[in-house]
Amino acid sequence: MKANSSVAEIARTVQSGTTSAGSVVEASLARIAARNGVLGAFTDVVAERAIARASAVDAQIRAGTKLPLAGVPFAVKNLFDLKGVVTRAGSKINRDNAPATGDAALVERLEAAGAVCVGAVNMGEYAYDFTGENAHDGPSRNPHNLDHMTGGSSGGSGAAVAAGLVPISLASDTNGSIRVPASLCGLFGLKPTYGRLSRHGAFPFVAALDHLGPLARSVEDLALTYDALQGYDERDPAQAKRPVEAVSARLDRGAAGLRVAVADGFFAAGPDVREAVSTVAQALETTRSIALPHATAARAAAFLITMAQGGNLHLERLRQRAGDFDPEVRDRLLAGNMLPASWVERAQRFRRVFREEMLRVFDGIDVIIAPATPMRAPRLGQKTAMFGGVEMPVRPNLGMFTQPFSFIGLPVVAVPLWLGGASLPIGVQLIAAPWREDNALRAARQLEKLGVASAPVAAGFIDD
Amino acid sequence: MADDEPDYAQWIAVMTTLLDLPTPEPYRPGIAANLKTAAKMAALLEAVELEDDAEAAPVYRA
Repeated sequence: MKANSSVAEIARTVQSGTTSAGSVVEASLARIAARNGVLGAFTDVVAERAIARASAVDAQIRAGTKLPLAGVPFAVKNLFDLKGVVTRAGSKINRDNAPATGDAALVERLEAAGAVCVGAVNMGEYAYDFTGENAHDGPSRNPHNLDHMTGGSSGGSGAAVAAGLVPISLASDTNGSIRVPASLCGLFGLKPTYGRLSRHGAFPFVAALDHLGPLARSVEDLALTYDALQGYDERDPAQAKRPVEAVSARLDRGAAGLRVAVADGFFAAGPDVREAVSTVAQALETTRSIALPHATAARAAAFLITMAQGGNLHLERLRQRAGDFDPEVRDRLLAGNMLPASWVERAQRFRRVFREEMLRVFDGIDVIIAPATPMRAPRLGQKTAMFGGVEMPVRPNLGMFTQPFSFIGLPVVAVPLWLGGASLPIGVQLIAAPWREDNALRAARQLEKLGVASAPVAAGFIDD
Repeated sequence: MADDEPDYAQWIAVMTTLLDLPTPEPYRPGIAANLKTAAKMAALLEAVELEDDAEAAPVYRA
């Protein structure tokens, strides 16, 4: 396996017997051993498990079994349960827990399709983070410039995929934690519709807003992974009873017929962001723009629900072990426990209203274009930045453009752009109506085919 | 929302007692800063008029 090998390429060559799952996984493990030290991506490498699993995949192939993800190595954000590994969820506190007794549902699904988990990766503490800086494990570093943030909270996932250690990583997205690292690390990321994928065996943050999904270096890889992840699981009470709606075969229909518009108003940002959005709009042949109703309030409501539900989830840990939290996370969670119920209840009531408003928007539009982040990757340790001409804290504001959409569970694909002369990428969101991941992925694939969006392995990590 | 800035120190002190939270003095500026941000967010939300039949969505379906 080369650093830039795709999911499709690996699966094809393993299935055909041209190479073995064992050799692919060993190459991935070797690359992790050589490169992880500078990246801070992996926190738990499960080499023994991975080699055993790869051997089992090779035996299945020899027996004639067809596996759509045969031998594809993958990582998981360290909030996913891996049997025998402590699910740390980016925290110091949880590493005192017993090891997980089973795998998370999505790990089971990928491995049932022939993929092989090679380990768990770094993340912001308890997923309350947009930077990728972990107070206990150190920061994950952006492979395109090691002095810069990966974005978070799925920072290790972004670093591992952008550096070519693995072709895909599973991650979570409550307010933007897939889409922010996708933007800052130059990757494709999919946050499916709320309720689409099972969250069983993933440590929660905000149950009302938690989503899981993949990060990858191509739209095809994203779609192949997403197809393998689908399926109803009664162990997640929020999962919808939907049939599997495979998208891989529909990717190359192009964007013809899709009604596309650019989100205006709240989503208007600085010159680089505007250029990224207008480049995507031009490629998708739209001049249409739309002011989304109440986007500012939607972001505010997501912010309040997150504080309150996140705070309540961790109340007992705050009482018992406040000194073991990252201080920035601790203070947000403590404050979350102190919010007036009236604010939170209003946020929940508004959620239903905003959902109805947005569903009406989708009567006439299939895909909305919006920036993923208000800026490229900040430097590690950077606390503030200029947002709309105002200096504001980086940590809560990197996700200002992602929050309004996850707030009502819409499916979103983040696509990476490399604008002329820029050394770091910036991402754009493609937002679709509920359950229409296919539309967002088709638009993303069209941008990839046109060369507008791309996710190369970072230059310093191509070693083959 | 009241126009006057609330007394965040008092707010934190009351909630600390009610919820049995650990809030030693070094934590309090950070907690207050987060409460201030939350108050700004709540003000944005208060500006949106909600009908009486706007139902909360604690268990959400997209």
